[in-house]
Amino acid sequence: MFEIRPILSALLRHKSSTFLIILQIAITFAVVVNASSIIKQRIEMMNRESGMPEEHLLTLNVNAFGANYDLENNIRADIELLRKTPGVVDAVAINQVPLTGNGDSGGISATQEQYDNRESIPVGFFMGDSHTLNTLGVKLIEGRDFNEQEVIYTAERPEVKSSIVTKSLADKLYPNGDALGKPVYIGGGEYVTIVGIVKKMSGSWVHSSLFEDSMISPIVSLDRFKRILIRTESPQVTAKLLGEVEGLLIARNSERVVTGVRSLVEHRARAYSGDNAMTIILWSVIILLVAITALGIVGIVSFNVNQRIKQIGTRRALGATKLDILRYFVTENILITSLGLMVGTLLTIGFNVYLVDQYDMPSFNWYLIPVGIIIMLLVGFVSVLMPALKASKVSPAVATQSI
Amino acid sequence: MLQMNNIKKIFRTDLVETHALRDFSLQVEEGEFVAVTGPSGSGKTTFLNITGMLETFNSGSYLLDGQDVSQLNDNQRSKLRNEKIGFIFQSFNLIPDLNLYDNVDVPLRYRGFSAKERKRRIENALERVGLSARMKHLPSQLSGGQQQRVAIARALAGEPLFLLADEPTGNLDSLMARQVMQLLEEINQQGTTIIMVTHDAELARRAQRNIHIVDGQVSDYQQLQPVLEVAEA
Amino acid sequence: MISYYLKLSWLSIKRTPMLTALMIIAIGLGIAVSMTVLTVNYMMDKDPIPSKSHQLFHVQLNTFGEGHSNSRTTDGLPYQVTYQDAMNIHRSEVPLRKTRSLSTGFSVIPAAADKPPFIESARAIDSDFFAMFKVPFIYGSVWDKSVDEAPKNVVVIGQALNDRLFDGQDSIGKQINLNTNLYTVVGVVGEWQPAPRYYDLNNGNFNETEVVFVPFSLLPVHEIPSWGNNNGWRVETINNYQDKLASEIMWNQYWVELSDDDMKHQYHQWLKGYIGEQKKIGRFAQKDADASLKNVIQWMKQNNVVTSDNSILVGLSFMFLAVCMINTIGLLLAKFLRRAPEVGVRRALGASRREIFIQHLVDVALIGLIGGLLGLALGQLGLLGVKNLYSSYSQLVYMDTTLIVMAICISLGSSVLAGMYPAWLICRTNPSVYLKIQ
Ligand SMILES: Nc1ncnc2c1ncn2[C@@H]1O[C@H](COP(=O)(O)OP(=O)(O)OP(=O)(O)O)[C@@H](O)[C@H]1O
Ligand SMILES: [Mg+2]
Repeated sequence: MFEIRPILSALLRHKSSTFLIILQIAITFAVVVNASSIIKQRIEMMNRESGMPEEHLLTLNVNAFGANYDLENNIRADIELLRKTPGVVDAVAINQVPLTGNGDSGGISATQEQYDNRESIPVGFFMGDSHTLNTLGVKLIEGRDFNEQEVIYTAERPEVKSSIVTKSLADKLYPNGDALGKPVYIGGGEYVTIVGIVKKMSGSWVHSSLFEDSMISPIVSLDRFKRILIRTESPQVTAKLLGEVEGLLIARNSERVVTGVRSLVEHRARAYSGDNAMTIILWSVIILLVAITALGIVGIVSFNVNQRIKQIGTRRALGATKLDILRYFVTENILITSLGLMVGTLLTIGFNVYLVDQYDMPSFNWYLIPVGIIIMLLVGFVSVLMPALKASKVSPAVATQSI
Repeated sequence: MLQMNNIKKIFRTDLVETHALRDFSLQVEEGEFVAVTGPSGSGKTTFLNITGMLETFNSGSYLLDGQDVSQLNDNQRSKLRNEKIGFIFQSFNLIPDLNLYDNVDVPLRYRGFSAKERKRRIENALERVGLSARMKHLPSQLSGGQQQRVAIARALAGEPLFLLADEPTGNLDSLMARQVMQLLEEINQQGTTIIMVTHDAELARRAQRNIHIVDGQVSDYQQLQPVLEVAEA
Repeated sequence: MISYYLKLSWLSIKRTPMLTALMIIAIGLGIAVSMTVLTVNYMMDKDPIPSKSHQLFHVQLNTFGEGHSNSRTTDGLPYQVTYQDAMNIHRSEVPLRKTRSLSTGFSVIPAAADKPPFIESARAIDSDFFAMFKVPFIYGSVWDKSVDEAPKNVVVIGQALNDRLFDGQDSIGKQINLNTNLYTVVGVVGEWQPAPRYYDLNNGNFNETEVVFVPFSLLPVHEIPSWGNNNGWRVETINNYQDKLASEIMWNQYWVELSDDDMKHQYHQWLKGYIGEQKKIGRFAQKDADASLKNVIQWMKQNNVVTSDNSILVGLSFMFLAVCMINTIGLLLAKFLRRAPEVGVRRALGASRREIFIQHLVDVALIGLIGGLLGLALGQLGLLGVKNLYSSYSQLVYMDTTLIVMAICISLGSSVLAGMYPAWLICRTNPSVYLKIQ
């Protein structure tokens, strides 16, 4: 561009101010890029497909306290009652509900040998009756669903023969894609056979590596504390049931307490509340930081313009057009911003290396750097425009005024 | 070359309306050295500003080198100023952050000369004012007289038709003033038209032609001159 | 002289209102953001029991079999202990105080038939628990030490539950129905909400404290279930509660109070001896199986009470503050340089460098103070926002006097620091330069 060398030499005469702006832009850039990288990664995580009709799902806990409470018959009766309730598509007594942060997990493997060598794959264990898949609303892509005969009602360690796994887990167990019909070792020399594969299904712990790796077994464990999952026809029914389901169950048998009646939408919000908060805080930090830097540029440039009124007038007297003056300040600013962004890029990388190292953050996408550069250049440009326009309006007659 | 007819310039501020120039008419030919004198506040600077197109006027006509200035927009005026006019100010107006070389370079940059051409002109101009040895110095490292010589070099570098100077010696001692005057005379002899505002009667007398402005109008100075000379003698 | 400087600062603020406003906003925002983040962090990291945090120890025993470890922690040790270990190490006479601990819960069945039963979280513990964690009583006190060995249906309840069941009256000697069993109230606990809830960092670090406390010795009697984690590492067939009690599942917690290093050393030796004994019957299979005693501070660190998100935000907020300060230095430099000719005149009139320097620092300090106050006000807004974002932190996010003083100190300190360089630059510059060129 034009006039770069004289601008540079003028900048060098004000080393401290120039250096400060460069530093400020560099740090701003590093923070903005890394914060955006974290935001992006959190948003991607929160937007993961759950494979379930969350708006149609609600869950609750039944805590039975009656001294002679018949667990099996009460569970069967509760589920039957719920399935008959208008607006309910299906219901199941289940050991854990996706997205809730509670449940059972463990390790499984494709061979006993792998299991013994502790090369097992961590998974979430889901247990429910033959309505489990239908209630969860997940899609079976291979094999079959459980049938009623194979469901075991027990308070003891059950002897299961069949299980359904998620696609993600199936691929980890059998990378060749031939998991259906193959055994899965669950410890103690026992194995179960994969009878079905589910396309996608969320696990209980959204931040866990096993989030998408789940195994479902046809078991109804007889516990005094029992979770129930209900799938409804519509979000309206879900909302209605949230208020009514406790009364419904207590009316059938009052020797228990119903707690934790929540929709899965609410559970999702709770599970990701920390990530959501982090994104909001990071957004605020980015916006405030960019605003401060922009205001800083406005302030410094305005000051420089005021300081150089006479100089600007002289330049105009010597033949500079308004555009020339505008261009002078914009060029000066782009130069400083670019220098800041160069330093900033190094800082960004260093900062990210530190984050990856210290906090196991995934490293950022490279494209964030050019995007950030463009945004920062735009911010710099917009900030300099106002004072630079003011500068271009300085009358050339200023040159001959004595003060 | 320069033709002003009935120029009127009014400054309006909140309370007062100042008629800085009223029915101001003047013609300057190529190669002239015109000294403008007059009491303080009479409109000398205003005249110079209008001549240099630093300021617009309310009415009247102004032809510069055959062009009607009132028809030009800001950009065209800037360009014309850059090509045809060189300025010398009382307070030098050098850019403090730039060294002498870069200061002289300022108008050339706006002119769009090649780097080689600019270099030639800058060195030439500084040579003419006798400061080529101090090219890399900053204005703050020079005396007032030297600074004014740089300003002259800056005005000359563009090889303008006109040189406009507003009290170029106002901030200098009489020795320095005479040196600067000598420089201007040399420049004039090489063909550049010069219009210089000054309070110094001695310097004014050295000019080819004198114009006296009183209350925003040219008063007929030519006729007064012999009387003054007699009085001084 | 200071009042003269203050007057000059005020004049200079009036002369450059925009620059001054920009600086105040920059400092204010910097302080607000960093104080908001710091407050959350400081409150999380705060010692929840300063008088005893170095005497209370969480016991970890490495019962893992060969090749097993806890992959989620840095030390690889299990968080909790097995029931059998909790019972066995409870025999040690070394600690000053000791308690087994289990997170559980009950259905509370009110006496009045028209009031529906409700669920309360509970904790099964030993009598020392209350003295160890400085739990205050408003009525009665803890059960007799003998109950720790010979179980009895006694209970200590929290104020909230006492209010709900007994309208806040002294309920000592009255009975409450938990899961259809009657318990006699022996004590009512007053206001007690440590944050974080350091005595159990596996079940919600900032959850509310329990309102039902029953003797740990009742576990086998009422088959009290675990409401917390059950961590197993080997395949065991658990068909009933007895199987679980005898298993290698880790579902209990154990805390001791050790008055000094000597006692700690002695206790560690005792645990080593215990592990040696257990090795003989095939438990503690790892060659270097050991015990670990972590005090409250170490235990909080181990459990990442301050999350990595918090730490990242602290880092970011300090970078934010740095940007604000750099911004301020830039603006100050501009502001001071504009005043350079005036300084030149002042110097010519006899002001010393020191006087010029101090005058400018007073200027900066005034701006810093105003910025700091603005920052405190904005910080309250920030905390309100954080409170909305993290419902579980609500009791954490307020600024105590320490934090307020800290905010003012940071803003004053950092702005004076920021002003140092421009002030030095201006008082050092040769005034004649400014007198020569305007
Ligand atoms: N920008 C302006 N706004 C208002 N009035 C102005 C402005 N510039 C000049 N004037 C007025 O116009 C009149 C002529 O001013 P000008 O500067 O031309 O005088 P001058 O002859 O150059 O005086 P001096 O010898 O003192 O420099 C004065 O009365 C002055 O107050
Ligand atoms: Mg004048």
